[in-house]
Amino acid sequence: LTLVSNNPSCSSQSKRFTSRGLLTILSLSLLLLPAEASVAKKHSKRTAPPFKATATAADSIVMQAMQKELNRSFAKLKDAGPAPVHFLCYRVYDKKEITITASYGGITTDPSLVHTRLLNVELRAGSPQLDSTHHNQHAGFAGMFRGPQPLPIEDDESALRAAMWNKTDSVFKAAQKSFNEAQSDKDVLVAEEDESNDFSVEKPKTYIGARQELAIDPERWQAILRRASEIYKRYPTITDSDVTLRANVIRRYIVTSEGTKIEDESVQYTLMTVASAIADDGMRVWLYDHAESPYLKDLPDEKKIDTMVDNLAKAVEQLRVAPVAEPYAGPVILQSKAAGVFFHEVFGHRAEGHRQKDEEEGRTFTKMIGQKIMPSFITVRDDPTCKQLAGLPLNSFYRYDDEGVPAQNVMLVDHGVLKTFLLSRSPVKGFSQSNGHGRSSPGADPVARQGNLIVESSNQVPYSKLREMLIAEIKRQGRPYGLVFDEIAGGFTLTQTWMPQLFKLLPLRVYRVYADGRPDELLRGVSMIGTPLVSLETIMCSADDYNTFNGNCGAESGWVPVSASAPSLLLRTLEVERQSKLQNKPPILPPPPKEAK
Amino acid sequence: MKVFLLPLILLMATSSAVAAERDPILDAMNDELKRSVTELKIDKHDKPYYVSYMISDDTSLEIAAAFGAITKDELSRGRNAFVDVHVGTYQLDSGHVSRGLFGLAGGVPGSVKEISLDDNYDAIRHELWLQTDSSYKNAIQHLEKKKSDLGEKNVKERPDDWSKESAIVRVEPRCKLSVDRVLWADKMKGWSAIFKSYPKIRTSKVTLDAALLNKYFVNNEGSEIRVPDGRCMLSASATAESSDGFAISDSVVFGSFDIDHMPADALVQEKIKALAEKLTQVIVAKELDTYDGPIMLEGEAAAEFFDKILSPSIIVKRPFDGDPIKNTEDANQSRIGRRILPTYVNVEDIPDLKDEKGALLPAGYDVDNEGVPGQKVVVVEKGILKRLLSTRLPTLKNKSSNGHAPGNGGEPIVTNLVVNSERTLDMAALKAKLMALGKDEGLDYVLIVRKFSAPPQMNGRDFSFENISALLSGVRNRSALPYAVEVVKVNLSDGHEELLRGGQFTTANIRMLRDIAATGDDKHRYQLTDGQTVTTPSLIVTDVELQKIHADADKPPKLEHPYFEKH
Repeated sequence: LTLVSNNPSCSSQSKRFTSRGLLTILSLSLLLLPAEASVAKKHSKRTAPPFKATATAADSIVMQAMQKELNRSFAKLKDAGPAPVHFLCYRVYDKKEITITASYGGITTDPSLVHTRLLNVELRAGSPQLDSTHHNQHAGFAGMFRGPQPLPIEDDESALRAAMWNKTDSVFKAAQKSFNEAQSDKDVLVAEEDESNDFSVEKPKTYIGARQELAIDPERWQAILRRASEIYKRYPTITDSDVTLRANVIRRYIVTSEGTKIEDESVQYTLMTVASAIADDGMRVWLYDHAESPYLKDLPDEKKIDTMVDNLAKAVEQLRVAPVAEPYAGPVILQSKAAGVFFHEVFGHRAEGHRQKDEEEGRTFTKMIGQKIMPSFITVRDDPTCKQLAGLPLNSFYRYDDEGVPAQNVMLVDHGVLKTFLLSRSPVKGFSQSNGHGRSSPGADPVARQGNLIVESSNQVPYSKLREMLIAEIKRQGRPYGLVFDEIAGGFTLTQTWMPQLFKLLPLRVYRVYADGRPDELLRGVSMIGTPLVSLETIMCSADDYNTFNGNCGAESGWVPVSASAPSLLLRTLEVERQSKLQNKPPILPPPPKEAK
Repeated sequence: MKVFLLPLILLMATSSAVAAERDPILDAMNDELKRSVTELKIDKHDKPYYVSYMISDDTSLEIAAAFGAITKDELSRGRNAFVDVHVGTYQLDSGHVSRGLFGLAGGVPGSVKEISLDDNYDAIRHELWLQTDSSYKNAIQHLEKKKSDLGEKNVKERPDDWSKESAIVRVEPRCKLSVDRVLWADKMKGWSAIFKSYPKIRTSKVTLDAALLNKYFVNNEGSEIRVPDGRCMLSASATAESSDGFAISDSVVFGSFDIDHMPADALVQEKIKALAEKLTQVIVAKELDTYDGPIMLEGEAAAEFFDKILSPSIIVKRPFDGDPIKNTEDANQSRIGRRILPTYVNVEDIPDLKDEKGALLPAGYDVDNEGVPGQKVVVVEKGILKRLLSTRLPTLKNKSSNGHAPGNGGEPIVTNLVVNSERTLDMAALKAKLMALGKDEGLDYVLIVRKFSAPPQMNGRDFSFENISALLSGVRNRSALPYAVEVVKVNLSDGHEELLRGGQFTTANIRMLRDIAATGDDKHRYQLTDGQTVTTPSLIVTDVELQKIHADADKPPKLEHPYFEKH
């Protein structure tokens, strides 16, 4: 199992830079979900009794089609097979997206709107105690490849229902087969350590959010991006570069046989720029900068975009000529974004509920509820109900998760003591209810995932003091220097027992801080590795700064938008290793001369 | 004198008109090409001796509909650059190198990347510069690897590595895709709604994929090309399912250069209806008993037969130098000069074959993707294999290109295959011949195959689970020939015809072509799903074994189709 928390750089860039090595890191998609969707209050109070939900004239055609086909299917399929159907859920994701990318003054992507609709059908055969999804706990990433069903993009009830019927039938047959396998597993395998139910009971919810449209003027944005991307022409050592605007709106519909009926919407605008250069030793160095918001008006204006691009270009040029870092173990500071990613990988993934009951998982923290797993000045929570932190937008705001359960602010670690896990509707020993973290990419089957991970510290000092503490620690350990990790591309972790249960972070920019007062030195080409339990124990102190890493996280249920917020952290010891690099020389010829105007 | 002057003046007028509006794309290509061949050099290694740039500037409209509603409606643009850099000489160069075990599927000599959609000289030239740089470095490595591989081997006779071809200059006006999107969306909805009258059809889909591109090509031999290229495909596919769980899929396909050359709406409507009706009938028909004897491949089935059985055998395949796994002798080349078809059959491949209105066909072109004019090739003459379709990658028997390159180092492509027979029977006589052959063998009945199953084509932009599994099942079942969807049993006592539930060929290979016993007088051009066409008469093949379709049939759906339940 490979978990990747990606950076919000564009997919092709990420693939190019991270897909080397033994692990296949899946191509990263920039799928930034909502930070806010306005609500039509008059609908929000409606509730429907379980099993009796009906389509009403006020419903959208999509909702009506879903409700009618779900009701028909559930009524007729319930007792149609050897195992009873105890739960049926339809999810439809209607996505409209525009992407505009410019490179070197020219638009490189088609800026037209792409409209898709995907259907996911969840059908559970058996009983909540043991059902057809039981086996899926061991299916790992298989769910990612069990594709969703494309639906008509028009509001045509009979065409929508025809596609839903077809998908339901194949899911029904697969569920009967899976349930049979789950039952025979019980007969031939030793009892699992965690004998929790397969499905939790939750109250049905009804919520209808207001509609929003994308407010993009493609012509205007093409002009802005063309001009901004031309700035890179002034930096001849920068080879690949682009500036991208991505806007998407996803309208999500969920109906269940329990009576849940949710229709809501998320809008996201993302502006980002990526640039890379080849160092003389063949290493490709790159950096990115980005801004995202549910409101177009909150994106940087033209002037700020130009500054963003220009600063990035300068930073890449500096990084290109920086020396390469050497393997090292010693004291480090993880600046806040890097610290956020550190917690996402080291702790967050290991706190995902379904991993606690999968016998193939490392289950690092499964039996540590009530125990101290990190310094007592650290508190960790995951709060998808939060839109902003310290004035910065959080990437993973939602009201309901993909199982229709209200999002909750979950206190995971209270002053160093593990309290609970991130839970979907798959219960874990000691925790029978979901806490609103069942999430998926559009069309995939949800599992427990992180949302807005927030690390808080009661042992805070100003950053300058943290730096002094780093130098003191370097001296105490008798080392020539320590490291400060600044920009970070992302990271990944391995959580299964048949692989080393490591984490790895991929920093973009690292500084060497000398104990003897020499100026800091910019470095390139390192990655950070470690094991979870040891690493958490080495946290010594934190700064009082806060920053947020907004990105996307890939796991069994696909890519979901996440954020990780933390103060800068001082760690007693962390190990860094050399990054793989290409051996290509920089281009032989200089950049071509510009067009004679 | 006047006679000669006139065309000269016309020529000058054309070229000056082109010169008047310079194309920044061609300018960027020419300027960077010139710089690359004169200045690109590293250490002791030679400059490239051959560089070509191809840019395909593509606009495509994809509209899909199912059951009366649009499922996809996307107009998209894309521009890709293919850079091909050769180091060495025409005799021994850096191209066509196996990269160890992973390269067995074919090395990709050039590189491809999306480039600016704007006609922005600087942006396009910048990309070409970077791609040329990395292609040149790769080429040096490939040439050195090839030299060392060859050094270890005892090579008796070796073909050149790159054929010399004449340069062509041909700059035509740029084309632009113009499709009435609303009108076509309406048509697609209407056609997809035809299936609403057929309760036995479980799933169905109608897809339009209209692409029009401007193809740019320059090389340092002096070629400069800008030509339009079109490919418009319309297909309807459906899967029918019987109450006992037997399911079968098929499609109908229409192809043309552009949307204006599509067949009339009434014809499309009629053919889609026929597809739905045929599938509805097939799934309730009787199963086939294993059959061994003569069959008639009628109409479209004959076209699909030649496509699957003959096409793979008429292209040049060249093994890699220094392949770690020993290459089998190239069977296609070894058949040159030998008889593969009856002596009265001739076969040609014609890239620039025109339709009734004088337009190219969807797989057709005037100039191929290596800048060589697409030439008509007489592949089979009086039953003898004469010549293979080739690219600029020579072999000992095919020293030059005949304009069949797909570009980017790919194997030659078959475009529009034309099968001509010098000895034909009218359709009644052909059926009589089939029956006579059956009687000679002491059979009670003979078979006519009218259609092979055409699984839905997977579009690169449409990676749905359904498409992937359809594709995989197609791969699994490919005994060279797909399922026969429409199989008719002809009773020898009274000539009565009865539809069967499809069939499956147990073996199918090129030797079947020699068993062709007769051809009809019904020569017609048929459109295949991948864009190619085959023009052929119906034919009879002796000694064929057919059995019933062994598909892992799912149980029928638990619930009735919601639409048909209501009605």
